Amino acid sequence: MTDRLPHRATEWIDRDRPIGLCFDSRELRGYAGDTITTALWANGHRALGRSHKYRRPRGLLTLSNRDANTLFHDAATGRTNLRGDTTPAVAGMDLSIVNDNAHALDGLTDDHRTGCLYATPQPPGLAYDAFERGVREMVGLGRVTPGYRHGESFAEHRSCDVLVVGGGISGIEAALAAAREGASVVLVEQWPRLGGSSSIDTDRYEVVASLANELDRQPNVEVLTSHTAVGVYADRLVPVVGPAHGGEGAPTRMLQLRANRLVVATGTMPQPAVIPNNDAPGVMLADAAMRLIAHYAARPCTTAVVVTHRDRPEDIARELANAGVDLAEVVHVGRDRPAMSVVTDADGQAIGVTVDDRQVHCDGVLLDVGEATDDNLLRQAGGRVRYAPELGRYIADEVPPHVYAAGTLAGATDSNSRRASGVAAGVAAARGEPWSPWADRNPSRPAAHPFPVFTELIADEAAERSFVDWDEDVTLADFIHGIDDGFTEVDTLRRYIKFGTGISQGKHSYANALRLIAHLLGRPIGEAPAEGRNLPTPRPLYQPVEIGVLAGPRQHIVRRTPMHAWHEAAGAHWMPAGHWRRPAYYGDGPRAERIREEALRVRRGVGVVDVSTLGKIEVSGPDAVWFLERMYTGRFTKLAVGRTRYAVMLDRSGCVCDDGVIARLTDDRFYLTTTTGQSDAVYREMKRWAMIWEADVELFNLTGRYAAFNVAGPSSREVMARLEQTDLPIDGMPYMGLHDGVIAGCRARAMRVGFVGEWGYEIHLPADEALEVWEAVMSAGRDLGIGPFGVEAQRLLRMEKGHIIVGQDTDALTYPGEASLGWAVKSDKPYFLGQRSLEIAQRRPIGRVLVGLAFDRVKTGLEPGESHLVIRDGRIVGRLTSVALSPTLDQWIALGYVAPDQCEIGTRVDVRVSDGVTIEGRVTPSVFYDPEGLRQKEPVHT
Amino acid sequence: MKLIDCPGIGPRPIGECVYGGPMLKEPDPAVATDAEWAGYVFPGSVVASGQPEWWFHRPSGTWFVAERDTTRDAILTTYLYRPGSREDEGGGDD
Amino acid sequence: MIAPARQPVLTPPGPLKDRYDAVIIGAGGHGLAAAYHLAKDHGITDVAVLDRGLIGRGNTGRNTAIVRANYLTSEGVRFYGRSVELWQGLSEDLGLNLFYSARGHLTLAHTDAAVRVGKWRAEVNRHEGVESRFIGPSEVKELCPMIDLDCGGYLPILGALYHPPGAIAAHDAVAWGYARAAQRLGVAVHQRTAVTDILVERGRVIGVTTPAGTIKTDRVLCAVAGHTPKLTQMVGLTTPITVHPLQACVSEPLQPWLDAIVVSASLHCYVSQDARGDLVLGASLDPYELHSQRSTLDFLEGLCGHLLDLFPFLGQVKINRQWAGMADMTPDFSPIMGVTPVEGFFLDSGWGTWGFKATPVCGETMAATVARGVNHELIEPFAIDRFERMLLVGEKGAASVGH
Repeated sequence: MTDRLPHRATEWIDRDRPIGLCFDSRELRGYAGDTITTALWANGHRALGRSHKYRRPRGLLTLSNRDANTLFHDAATGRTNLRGDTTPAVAGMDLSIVNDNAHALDGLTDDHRTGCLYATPQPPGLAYDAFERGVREMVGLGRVTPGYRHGESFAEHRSCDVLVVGGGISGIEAALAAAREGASVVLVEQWPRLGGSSSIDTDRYEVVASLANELDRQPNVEVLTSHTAVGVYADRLVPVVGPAHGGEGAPTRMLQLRANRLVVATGTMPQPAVIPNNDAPGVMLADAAMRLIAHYAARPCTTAVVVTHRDRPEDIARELANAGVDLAEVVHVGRDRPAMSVVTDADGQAIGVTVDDRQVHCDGVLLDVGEATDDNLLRQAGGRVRYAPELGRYIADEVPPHVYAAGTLAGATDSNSRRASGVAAGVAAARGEPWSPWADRNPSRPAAHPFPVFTELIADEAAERSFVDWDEDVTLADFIHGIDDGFTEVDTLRRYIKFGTGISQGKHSYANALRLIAHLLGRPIGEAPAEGRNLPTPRPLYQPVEIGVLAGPRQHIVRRTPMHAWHEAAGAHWMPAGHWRRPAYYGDGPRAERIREEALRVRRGVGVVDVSTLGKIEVSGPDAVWFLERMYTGRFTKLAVGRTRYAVMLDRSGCVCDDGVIARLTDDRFYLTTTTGQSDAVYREMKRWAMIWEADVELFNLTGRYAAFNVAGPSSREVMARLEQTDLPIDGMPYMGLHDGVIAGCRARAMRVGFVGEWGYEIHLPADEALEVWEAVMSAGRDLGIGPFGVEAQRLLRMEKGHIIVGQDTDALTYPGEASLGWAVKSDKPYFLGQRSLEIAQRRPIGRVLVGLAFDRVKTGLEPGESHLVIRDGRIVGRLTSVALSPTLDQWIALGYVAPDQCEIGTRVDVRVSDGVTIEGRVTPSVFYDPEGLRQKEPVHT
Repeated sequence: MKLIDCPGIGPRPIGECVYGGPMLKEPDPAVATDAEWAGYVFPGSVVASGQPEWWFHRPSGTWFVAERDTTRDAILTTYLYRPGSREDEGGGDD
Repeated sequence: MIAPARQPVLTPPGPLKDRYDAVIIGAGGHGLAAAYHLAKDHGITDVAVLDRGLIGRGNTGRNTAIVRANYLTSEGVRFYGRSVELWQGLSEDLGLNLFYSARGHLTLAHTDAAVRVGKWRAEVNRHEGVESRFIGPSEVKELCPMIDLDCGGYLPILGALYHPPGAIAAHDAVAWGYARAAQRLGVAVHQRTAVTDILVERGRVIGVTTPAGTIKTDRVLCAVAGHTPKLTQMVGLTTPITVHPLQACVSEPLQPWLDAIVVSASLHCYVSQDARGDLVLGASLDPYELHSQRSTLDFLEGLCGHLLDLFPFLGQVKINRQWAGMADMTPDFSPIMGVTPVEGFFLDSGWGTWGFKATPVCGETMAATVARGVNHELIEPFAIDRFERMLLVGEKGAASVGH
């Protein structure tokens, strides 16, 4: 540990807990409390990264995760783009620099550089797309690890009276003041300890420590160190990201805090200077050097040059002396603005500076040239800032209700006024009083942030090495180019040359960029009409957050019917149906074969299908019939008690949106089904219309409460008759009849319906008893060869019967007449949903008609398929919506749309199958199987 | 998540609710022109704030009315639907 | 100062005149492309493009930069197919590197309904000469080796609509390129010039007013995306357009690992990796109407959760920034374009979430429409009167997720 200093009171490292880690395959030792960057720096490593575009070596700049210089890949865990400045060093890390790829884009000419390569002429002899591929290979930071899996994720939601963001001296005072007022307070600080800029100062450190102790004693304050507030969303929802249970290496959590009041005390961000080679390792913010010494007991360099805008940077000189660093020179840029640049060696590391014509040797250049306020979260919260020329930075101007600014952000300057502004904000927040801007009584103004460019500007070549945005390798030359190219507005120039868009989002570049642009255009910074324009809207996230953390515990909604486990045991292959899972078919082996067997079992014997996912709604009340006749296209006045009827619903534009069966239980009580996908929407719309129409009805959504299954096939009657039953005249139930009773000891409702075209019963019953009855049915039919059938067989069977499926044989714009549902639409009714729109649509000729199609002599490889197009004269006139090789008819059949003049039985239509070949289909009646319905109905007694 | 004050229930995350579009009076189908009817079926944006809208709170199955300032994503007021309230100028301020 | 020997991208437009042959409202990709084509194809160069803000700073700079033509209806496929053709030569045309990069576009199907729609789109695309086919899971895996076909067991991938010409481009540069090309032909682009009213007399447009004065013109093209309702209000026109935010986000840059553009409607997410290595991510439209560009945390939570279903190793990758655009939605997910009942007032609107990919073809067809006063044939299906005729375009089935 070559550069580790003796113990100091302000340090955060734990010398009793040394840790070993690897960098570039070299072992090194750090301490618990080190970050990756500080551990490496203390071990004498200086080149800690490579720049995004030019791949220049980079060192430590902000030590605050406000630059992209120090990003690492950890081979031990597969994590990449680790922020070295803030990520704790953990024993066993195997670190390397991300994308340490020596390919440089330096060979590109100026023309190629500006505008991040976008607005660039085509490189000679290279196609644009080849150029793009070339660029892609070179840029990018970390490499993903395919096997990486994010660990446990946490979602925590909490609220508090006052949330204070920023644990510097003003934030601490705000939290204390609010707590003393009795508020519940959460204080969020991104560093592991409180104190902010005060924590690096040997004198003020004591004050912070005693205030922190006082906070600890407040029972109503929770202090979250190592936590970052990453955004402010509607109604002051503030996601806070940090270790789930303290300590290094803990999984990261996102705590969603709902703050009644929000105090933003995020302080300032020191800014760099724009001088040639300012990105060389060894050049860093003086603030970073101070924190390196104070918190990590690491020597920033052996010989320093301090570049400062202050008359006497005594604090810096003192700390450097304490750390045994030689101070070679203090360069005053505020008054002198000397021509200076950083001198580098062959490896690109800083070895000195030139000041005017003098050379000064050093291995550290510490930049102390002013600060910008960190107003990001305040502005996300809806606060506005104004440029305060006397301070050289933006400060809070207006805040929305329940939001407060404190400390430097509020306009306070020295330590005392920052503390006082914190107290004022904390008290006001706790009491719910409005915020008022802070007015220093005895302001001791620091010198204003000077113009950031300290070389009279600037020979071509030097401008290209004078960085403004380190993340994106944006230089002074780019600003000059961009403005010459006509981008004279901050917001478009920003996009053209790409400053402030990198992973630190302008935290180290924006303040300088604003000054530079103002200078180059000869207008003052913060110019009144441009004020709002200069600042891009701050967007979440304040700091980048891992996808795994944002995703939280990832709860998927999956609905299962009561028979789910039974299906699973029977070898069901599942298919999603909205949130539900339904068995597609059962058993191993060829899928088509299994489906065929299931279908034939229904045709020849008996099968059972779980239809619990259907929507089930009970409608009752004096207006029930009237209501249903307005909701649906059909008539229900004459529907007898104990009978059911098919029903179609249209949307407001007159298109088919749902269908189902409506059963009349009593005169004013109905039970209806909806399609699986529409159950929520139908119930919701019924509730709305019932209210608007002032219909005297009650609506119950029984979808989840009831399960349902369909027992179908010639033997279904016998199976049902074998079950123990009361009040349920299975034998006497007519087709489309309904009866409530008790089956196998369970209250149930049986309907004699025939979606699949066989004699059958649909049994609806309470969900918690359904499995028992299902099993009873299965055992009652065992000797009759009973078995389950899935959605696939059900679809095939209904297709043979010519029954459409809304959503498969219709689309979002299908009118009932097109889908051969005209018979179900009683247009002479006074009103139903969609009626008026349908009437408009029906004034023009119908555009397509759904018909049955049969295919003869189908060749292998040229089978018709769903979505194949019906073509006439080179135009699309329709498509196949349902297609099957019918096991019953042993023929390829389909439902599909054809042109209206093609719907005559026997018409030949051209269907183009997938490889472009056309096959011929023959229009048939859409009911392919048992057209008279004899198998479903009882023989007619004459 | 944004909060919405569901009448009779209290503030709930807005994700519990389904937006039901603007609250418009259905024109008399027998009288309305095609264009008027289409304007009802396919209502466009109302730029002004404070227009009554339908909202449905899923867990409780409740429709209610909200008036919002859509330029600020601010909910100005919510109330339960009362028959005829859509015709009251500024009605339903409970 | 460095004196670069190159063409400026934006040139100061000179003073605003009091009369133009045509005024285009909105200096986004669409408005600038229309200006360019008016000048280039029709010789109408006395054109002012006015924007209340900065060029390309509306939805042109807020979208996720995907270009494709794999629509469901013949009308849509022909229209966007022409757009892709124009896109493919656009960098050359405009002399600006748009980083147009054909990556292949995968619309994943996790349900049998999505498989059916995917196949339907493939059939219609091929019929109209647009390259698309429906592929099975193993081919999805070949094109996108890092994907988890099983989606963690939640909604396994059954196949995908594969559209090889699907591409991404640098969206900002599109606005710059059109602006520069249009300016060279004589078009004046006035930024920060808000149109405060559109003047109509006896059913005809006669001019627009701005804070800088009134401008006489008999042709006004409105190309303002999410601000359309405010503009149509000025001429007393009602449209069925509603405005919903469409949110997006980007990750930090990564070395290239994803070539294809991957869309999953069932999982409400889509992703591509741009030239600099960022993952560009989006989901579906926000569910309620809003004329605001605010971001939400639930968008990030939902999107990130679903992204991990597809790419479980991304848990450690960080999201850098989120934003939103205001999408002008129509009931049939198709645009409203062309002439309107107000003579001389032309609409280029209803772009929902597909405006970027239509930029070149909108420029071409709207310029022709403005120049001739009748709708270009490619935009006839998108006429404003289709709603009262209940003659909607059938795109809705294909586009439940915004991309």
